[in-house]
Amino acid sequence: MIFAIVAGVAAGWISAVSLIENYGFEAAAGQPQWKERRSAADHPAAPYAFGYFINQGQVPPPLTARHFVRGTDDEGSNLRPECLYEVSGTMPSARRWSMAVSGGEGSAATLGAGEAIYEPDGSLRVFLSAQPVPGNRLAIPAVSAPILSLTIHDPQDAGKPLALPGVKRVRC
Amino acid sequence: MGRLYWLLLFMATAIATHAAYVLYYPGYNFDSKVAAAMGDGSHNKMMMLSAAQVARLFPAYSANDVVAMCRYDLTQGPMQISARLPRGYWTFSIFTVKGRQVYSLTDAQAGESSFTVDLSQSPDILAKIKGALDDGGEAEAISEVGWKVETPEEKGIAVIWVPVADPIFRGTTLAAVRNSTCQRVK
Repeated sequence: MIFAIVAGVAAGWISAVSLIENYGFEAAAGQPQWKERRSAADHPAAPYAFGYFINQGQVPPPLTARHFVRGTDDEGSNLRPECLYEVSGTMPSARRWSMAVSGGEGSAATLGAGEAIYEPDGSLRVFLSAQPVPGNRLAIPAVSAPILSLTIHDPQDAGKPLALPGVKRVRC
Repeated sequence: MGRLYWLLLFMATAIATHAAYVLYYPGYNFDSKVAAAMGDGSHNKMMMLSAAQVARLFPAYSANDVVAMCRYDLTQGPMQISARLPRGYWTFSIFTVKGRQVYSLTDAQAGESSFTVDLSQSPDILAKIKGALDDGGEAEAISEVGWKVETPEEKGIAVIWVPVADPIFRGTTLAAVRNSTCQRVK
């Protein structure tokens, strides 16, 4: 009897943790490296999507925003703190965006639309690096699996796929 | 028969654990982590967050944005939140302690930069039935006085977010948002 209860608790706990980590997000259309938070409050995955943030002691992004995360570069390799990455592209039309790198407790570095320096054509280049570099930079924390997040606040095309910037590894 | 019994026991325990972890544990966990980040005595008052607190609690905001937060507790009665915000983009959100967003307002929806919201806990199903019987079915009529929000949980947070268009405006933005309040209805 004890074995059945212990096995049941373990199975329930493992399935809950796994679903919170994975079911609350889905691959962004055409850009599978980016995972988008399922934001519809009436979606069956909503409790898992909320749980992802709540369990880390973070407030979920507001429902007026679309929130994306990724832990890999464009080649599918995990982001590493000893490497230099370039996040580049044109941000989707929206009232605001914000970008962050996290690892451990909360965001280690953030960048908002009002703080960024843009290219002459309106595109954006942000370097992810533990070392100082010229231009926009997000400091990668020295953790094994840093996560890059991008939040688009009040996007113009709220229900459509958004073109998101790529993440290219420059050097390690 | 014996195997079926153990299988059912295993499944019932797994389902109960899964549901408890997803639906109930996050609320307790979140409240304690927010309390740790905000410090003691942070209930029922509007607090301006430092950059470190914003980075710790809000994955969707830049640490340099202006964020004000009220940890409401409706066990002693309704609360009133008054916001005085600068012109431009801002959002006002109310979350339950379990992370469910129950209210959202932006500058475009509000059409003005100052507003007051009365926050109360929605009555449970028994209270609704009792009220309907007592009032002859009029209990659910909505009051027309101000904006009212009912939340299913007695605890949660109300958040004002004002992104800073340029770092040089942070001081003036902060000074404007500082006039917002969160207090018990007297």
